[in-house]
Amino acid sequence: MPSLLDSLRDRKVRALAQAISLSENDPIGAAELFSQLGPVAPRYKIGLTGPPGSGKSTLIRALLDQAVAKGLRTGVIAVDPSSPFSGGALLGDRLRMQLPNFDPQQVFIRSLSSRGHLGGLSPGILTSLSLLEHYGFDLILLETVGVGQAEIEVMYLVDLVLVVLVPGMGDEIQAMKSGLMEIADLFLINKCRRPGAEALMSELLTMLASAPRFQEEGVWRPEIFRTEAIDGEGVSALFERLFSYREDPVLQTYLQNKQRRRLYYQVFQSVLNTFRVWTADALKPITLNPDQAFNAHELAQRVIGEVCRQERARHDAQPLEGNIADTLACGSASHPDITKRDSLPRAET
Amino acid sequence: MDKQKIRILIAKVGLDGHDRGAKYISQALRDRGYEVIYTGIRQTTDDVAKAAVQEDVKFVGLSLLSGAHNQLFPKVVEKLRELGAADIVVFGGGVIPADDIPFLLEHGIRAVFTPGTTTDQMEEFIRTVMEESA
Ligand SMILES: Nc1nc2c(ncn2[C@@H]2O[C@H](COP(=O)(O)OP(=O)(O)OP(=O)(O)O)[C@@H](O)[C@H]2O)c(=O)[nH]1
Ligand SMILES: [Mg+2]
Repeated sequence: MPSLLDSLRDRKVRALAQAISLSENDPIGAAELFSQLGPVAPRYKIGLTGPPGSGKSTLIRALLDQAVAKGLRTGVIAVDPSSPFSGGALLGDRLRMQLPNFDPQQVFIRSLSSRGHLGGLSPGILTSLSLLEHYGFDLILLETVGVGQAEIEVMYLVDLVLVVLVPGMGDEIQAMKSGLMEIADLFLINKCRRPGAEALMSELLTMLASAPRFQEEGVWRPEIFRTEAIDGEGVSALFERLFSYREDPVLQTYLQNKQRRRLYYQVFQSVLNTFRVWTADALKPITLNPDQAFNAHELAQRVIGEVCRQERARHDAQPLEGNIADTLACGSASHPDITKRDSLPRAET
Repeated sequence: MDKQKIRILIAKVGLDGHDRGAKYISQALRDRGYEVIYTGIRQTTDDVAKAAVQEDVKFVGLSLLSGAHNQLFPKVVEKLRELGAADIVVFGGGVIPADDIPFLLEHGIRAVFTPGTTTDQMEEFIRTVMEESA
């Protein structure tokens, strides 16, 4: 049987689907495995966010119609929240997105659960997006769960963030104002035939005019679109514009700057995620005893030492090329070697 | 296996538009900790199979009230096989006469749940299948 990597290189839909599962179930292992696919040319990625029910999935369906008509291949990832009680999830975005009789090579839709992940996205999202890039989709769409401070993560994953709003929710928009202004690259007023569309438009214009981020010279300022996603009104104009942006010099500069911040954030998150798993593994065999004379900080230092020692041992067993691993590895001469202290305390059982 | 990672696609094939049962099952399974993808009414058998592959589910649950189960359920099994996904387990539910059940089982439907089936019974089935494939 061909390996998962080979099947991915052969662009098998099933392999892509299974690789995304692996990224969700074992984010670190998957990131390591799929790094063997090598570097990939970045693909155009658009994030859609906005309050529940504003029409994000319906809009994606309308965008897919456009993409299919133009012969573009599109990969979609849609994230829905997991239930905090059962850990399960009811993923309903696909229901509104799927085109009848679709060609699975041309339209790939994958529903993911946030699995309690803080950012409102899913734990393996970075790797999953890069798998879609490797597969060679012309366009990648990412639908997030509603908006709020927590959903800011989406802006570090995609080129453009499209915020989908609907008329008649003035108060909610006021409440999320600062978050929205931070992440939005484009605004969309969906269900635009409803009363209140004009009011929403002027509210957004006022917000844009007063947000500090947009006041400087030559800066990218979000445009506002109107659509009726359910019957496609306004969607072809939006689609055309999304593709003409690539020739816009102001936007190009903006995207380049954004890419730097994105990479920083992605590396930062990757390090955190990795340490989160290592830490959980290191703590698993230990029964913490509040009576022992260690404070939390002191224990944490020992855990860090232990985690680094193990990782160091693994690197030594499997030397990486170049010396970046050595430069970055813990326990090097410039760091105090906390592993020399006693081993982790174990409570008497 | 971690329940949360078991993914199940629930779809309504055929022409009837009553999806209360399918939605109820979807919610019940969500509440038991499964990840459920609900794809709605009037799905073609081809689209259900293609969606199951893209969603990388372990199970596909088909619901149907219009009586065409003998034609439609086996078609999903066949299409999955064609897509190289014969390992995805198909089960069915709805108003299905007892006499039709052996036919469906012979054609690759792993279980048929008629009205009155409890969520516990469905979970038991899921658990059995997972143990087999572990
Ligand atoms: N009238 C009208 N209804 C719409 C429009 N777009 C979406 N809807 C309806 O609004 C409801 C929610 O649409 P979705 O596309 O599921 O919205 P969503 O933002 O993806 O929702 P969540 O994923 O739950 O946050 C559905 O009943 C849609 O049919 C529109 O342009 N006009
Ligand atoms: Mg949605």
